[in-house]
Amino acid sequence: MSRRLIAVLIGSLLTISGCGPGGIRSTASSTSAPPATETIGGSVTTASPVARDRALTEADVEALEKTLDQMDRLLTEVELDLDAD
Amino acid sequence: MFVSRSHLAAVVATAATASILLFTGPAAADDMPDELRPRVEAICARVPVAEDRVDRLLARIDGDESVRGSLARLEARLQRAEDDGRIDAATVLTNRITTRTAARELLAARQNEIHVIADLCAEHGFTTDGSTDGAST
Repeated sequence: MSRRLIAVLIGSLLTISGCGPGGIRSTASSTSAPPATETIGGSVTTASPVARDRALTEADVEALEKTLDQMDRLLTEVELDLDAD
Repeated sequence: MFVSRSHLAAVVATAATASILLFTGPAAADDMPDELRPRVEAICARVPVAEDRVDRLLARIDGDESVRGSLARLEARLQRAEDDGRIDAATVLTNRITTRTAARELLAARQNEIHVIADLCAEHGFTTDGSTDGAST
């Protein structure tokens, strides 16, 4: 197998796995729920990325539950802030 | 027919790529452990509720001066405070406008996250009304 063929194959695999040139960012954003790390009103929300291209795991489900719980708290904080006007 | 090495390499690479994509398509809901299914259904059922709350909050913030919680209302109050020379009140209102503007940006980002979760639900065979769509069950 020629070096060129091997290079092309490896390049294809890296691109598919998101490790190729420019692939890490684009693949991470297109196949993962966004990791959220933001602070407002003293609350910090952090959620692990959840892959779309495989079956969901316990960790994925926990991350999604945590994300939605934190989102609920954020929305309540904003509602209270708006009501205070 | 003459086939160059580079053409052959491209064909093989394309075939390898296609085969990998074919065998690693989106996971179906039935790939996940059964005990997780109710939890994922519950997560997906929360999506429209969160989406509605975010939409309502954004509408309030973007509302006119008559809407409680709107930026326009805060800005009008700030104007009045400045006109009356109430420096402390103007400072407080300016800070509130800054916070409200940041909250608006955050809500918009959350709106996108909700859409991502909704897409995730769909890709794993769940609807956002708390059930599976039947396609993968």
